[in-house]
Amino acid sequence: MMSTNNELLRKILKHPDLNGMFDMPKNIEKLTISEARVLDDPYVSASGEILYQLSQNKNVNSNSVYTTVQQLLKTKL
Amino acid sequence: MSSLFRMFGTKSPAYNKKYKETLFERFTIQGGSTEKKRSHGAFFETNYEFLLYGFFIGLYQNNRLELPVKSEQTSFRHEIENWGSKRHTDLRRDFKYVQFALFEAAFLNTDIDWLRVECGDVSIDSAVTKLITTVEEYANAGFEYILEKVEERTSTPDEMFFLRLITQAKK
Amino acid sequence: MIINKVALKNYQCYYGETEIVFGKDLNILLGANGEGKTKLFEAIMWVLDLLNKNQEHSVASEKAFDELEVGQSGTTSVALHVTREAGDRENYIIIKEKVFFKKPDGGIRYSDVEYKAVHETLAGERNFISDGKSTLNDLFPYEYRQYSNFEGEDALDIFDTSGGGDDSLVNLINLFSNAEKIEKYSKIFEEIYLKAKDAEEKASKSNSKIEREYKSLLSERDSKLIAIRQKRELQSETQKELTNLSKRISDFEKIVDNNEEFNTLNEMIKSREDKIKKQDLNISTEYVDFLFDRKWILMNFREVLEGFNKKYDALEKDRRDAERAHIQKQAAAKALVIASHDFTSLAVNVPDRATMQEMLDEEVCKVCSRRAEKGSEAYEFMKSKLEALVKDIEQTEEDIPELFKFNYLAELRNERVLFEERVTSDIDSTVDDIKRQFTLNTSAASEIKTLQDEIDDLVAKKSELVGGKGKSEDSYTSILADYMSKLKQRSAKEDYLKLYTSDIEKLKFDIDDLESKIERINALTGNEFLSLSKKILHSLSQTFEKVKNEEFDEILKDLENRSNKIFDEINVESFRGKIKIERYKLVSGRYSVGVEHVLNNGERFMDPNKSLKTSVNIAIIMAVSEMAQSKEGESFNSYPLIFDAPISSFDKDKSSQFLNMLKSIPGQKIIMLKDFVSKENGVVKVMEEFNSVSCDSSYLLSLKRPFNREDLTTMETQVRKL
Repeated sequence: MMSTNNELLRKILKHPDLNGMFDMPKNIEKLTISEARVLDDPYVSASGEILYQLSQNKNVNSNSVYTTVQQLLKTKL
Repeated sequence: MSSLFRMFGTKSPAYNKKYKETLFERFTIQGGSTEKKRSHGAFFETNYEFLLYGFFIGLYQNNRLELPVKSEQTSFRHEIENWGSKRHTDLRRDFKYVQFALFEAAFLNTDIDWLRVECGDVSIDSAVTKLITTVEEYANAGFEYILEKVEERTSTPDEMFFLRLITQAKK
Repeated sequence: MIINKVALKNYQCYYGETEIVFGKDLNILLGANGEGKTKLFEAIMWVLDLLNKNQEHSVASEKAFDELEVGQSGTTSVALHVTREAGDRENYIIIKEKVFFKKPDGGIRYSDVEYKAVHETLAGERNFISDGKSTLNDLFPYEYRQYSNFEGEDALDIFDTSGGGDDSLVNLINLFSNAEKIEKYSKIFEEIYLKAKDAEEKASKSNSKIEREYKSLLSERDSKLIAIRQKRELQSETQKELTNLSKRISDFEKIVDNNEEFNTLNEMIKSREDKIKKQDLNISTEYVDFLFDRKWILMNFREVLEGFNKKYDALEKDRRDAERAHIQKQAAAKALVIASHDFTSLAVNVPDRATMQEMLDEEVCKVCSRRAEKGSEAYEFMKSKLEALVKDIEQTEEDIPELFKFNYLAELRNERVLFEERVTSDIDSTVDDIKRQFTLNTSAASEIKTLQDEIDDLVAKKSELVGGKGKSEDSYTSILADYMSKLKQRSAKEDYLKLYTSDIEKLKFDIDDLESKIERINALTGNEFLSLSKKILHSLSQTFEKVKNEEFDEILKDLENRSNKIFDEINVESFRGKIKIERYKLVSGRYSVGVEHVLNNGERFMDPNKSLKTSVNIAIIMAVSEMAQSKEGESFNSYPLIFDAPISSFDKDKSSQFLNMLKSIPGQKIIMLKDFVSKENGVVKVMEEFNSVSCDSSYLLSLKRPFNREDLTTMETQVRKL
């Protein structure tokens, strides 16, 4: 069936396309969105933040998510 | 090779500017994509082929027409001595024979006192220039005729049109 | 939601009050044609608000209306007693009602429709709800409701995406799988990436050093993106038209019973088309090239050639004459010199040089015939005269220069000979060569024409096959014309489609080129943070897109497996093939879901009979329902499926199999069937085979006898529980 948002996060991070772009968190199999968004790696935290924003608000718009993610990335890059 | 014919070969005949767009660019492929231009009715591979064609039309009809002033003339820089040389491919053959045919026709129809030339009284340069002028004038008359016939048509001229025009060109 | 009971009051042929109780699984209503089965289906559709405007007709029972006095009124209503889930004690009743009056003229007048609801709580309270419609929407949302009912066998074919891509299946899947949500997420991921890209470009733009060049690159790229979008729209429009056309064409061609004859004709056409292609190659019309390559341009040159030769020969003669004259002139001048050398005038012949030399040698003067011995005065005299003469002659010769300095004409001799050798035979045969080429072309062309005529005949035969089977003269001609015009249209549209595709390819190529130029500038002048964050967001967006597709494919795989399981059960013991469900990309870039009925080796299952086709559709509908029911993680309500005569094409055995299979699928199913019913001597009976069918509830719907179809007041359906 359809994956939950946490499952989606894991599927993204574990996808072969992103292989080598970042260090896989040790607890990836149980990693949740809330945990991911505060980690240091920009890929991990950005994915987590985007999914977090999406799951919070049904009618989320891309502008606000973008702003939040950019601010987050500023601190991680 | 004879020096007279050689000198003749170093020249590149001029033509009336007004035929550049109306005839040359329309009916020659030179400088365009072959597929595209062929589909638009351009059958002459090079500029000089078209000039030859115009020349023979004028010649067979025995019509010559003086060129306008120099400022109204233009030329494609391609010396006669290089005309008709093709790599022997499947598609086209060598036709360098046209160079001497051009020469013979010009020689026949130009009034030059050759004996005086051979004496040295008249410069060989001026003689060659006169020969070229003959070429240019026959071609000029030919172009005028071609343009007239093209404009008469309602559809794009096809290969048959060009063939007929010359087979029917007689005095 | 489960329908526990439907109660009809004065609805069409259901006079008075009728109640039908349903179980939570399979419910079967049997009825022969025209005895009230479909009316019951309509009644349920009516209360579910699923009829369209032109289906809403007079609902009142004729018999009930007939019984009214003028001014009196009656009520038509259909009520659904439902619970959210089977076994719930919290009941809802949804009631749709219309009041009817008898007018003074005897005619009928209706009140407006009223939707009411009743909510029976756990505590046993009954609450009346005036807005029954919103209760309905709450219990049975429209997006599920619209897919819950199927009237007739053909209505099952909601997956026929060939008719222009109606995405019923995609919608269904979205309903139970929240594929819509993930699609939305994917859009957001992409939009975020695009915003980051935009930000980077804005930053680069404001770098004044490369502003102009950068801006122009951006605007060129953007305008090409617009162009691609436009082409895609054109493509998708054309694709829709094409699929419509193809469907219509194949509808035409389905009429052809005898496929073999049709195929033979096609083969004959193809072989002639191949022959035409070959003959085409034999035609050469590069006449302009031939003018030069084959010397056709010299066709009237004979006159010139001969003229030239004449002139040339004349010139050469003139030259020789001139030269001779010149020599004579020289000789004459020499003679003058000799003459001026004071020889005795007695001599008739002035001695020339040779003679004088002779005289010296012979030591005799031939003028005066006297001897002049060497050493004598006369000898010396002769000698000195000779020397003076020689000197003068030489001097004279020097004074008269060569006539011709150059040999231009003579130099031409070689060339001229070679030229003539090369062209002379061609000049004379030009006309024949041209004629020969024409003949070749003409015969190839006429061969082509013959083949084309044959093809036209064959196509006409083909169209006859398509249009002609037992149709009337008129419809035959118009079918033919229609078919042929559609073939032409389709071919033209296919060409357009190819054109758009290649245009898009070219545009994409250009855009890639522009993007790499833009990237290069970004790398040199850009903001590092923006560039990095863009890169990250791009990767995430692309990865998410793939994850989304993988998710969706998993669902489709699941759906396919379940469909095939059901399909196998319906069609046990028959050659059936299998169902293939796949995601495919439309020309517009969006995805859609395609259903195919295939053989085990993957090839299309050709011409399945109706009952097999129906079972494909039912299998998928059931599989969707099954998947919807088994969704974990969210509390999900199942909804009833209602079918009117879905399996008329099934034979008795298949019908039983089908119905038994249905029992194993979760969810409530209500089915109206005309199978298992027979009419003997005006008596309607249920066939024995029905006993082997197991279900929660079953009823027989039949008209009260006797009845008169002319008099609607006698048409009254009775419901008998089985």
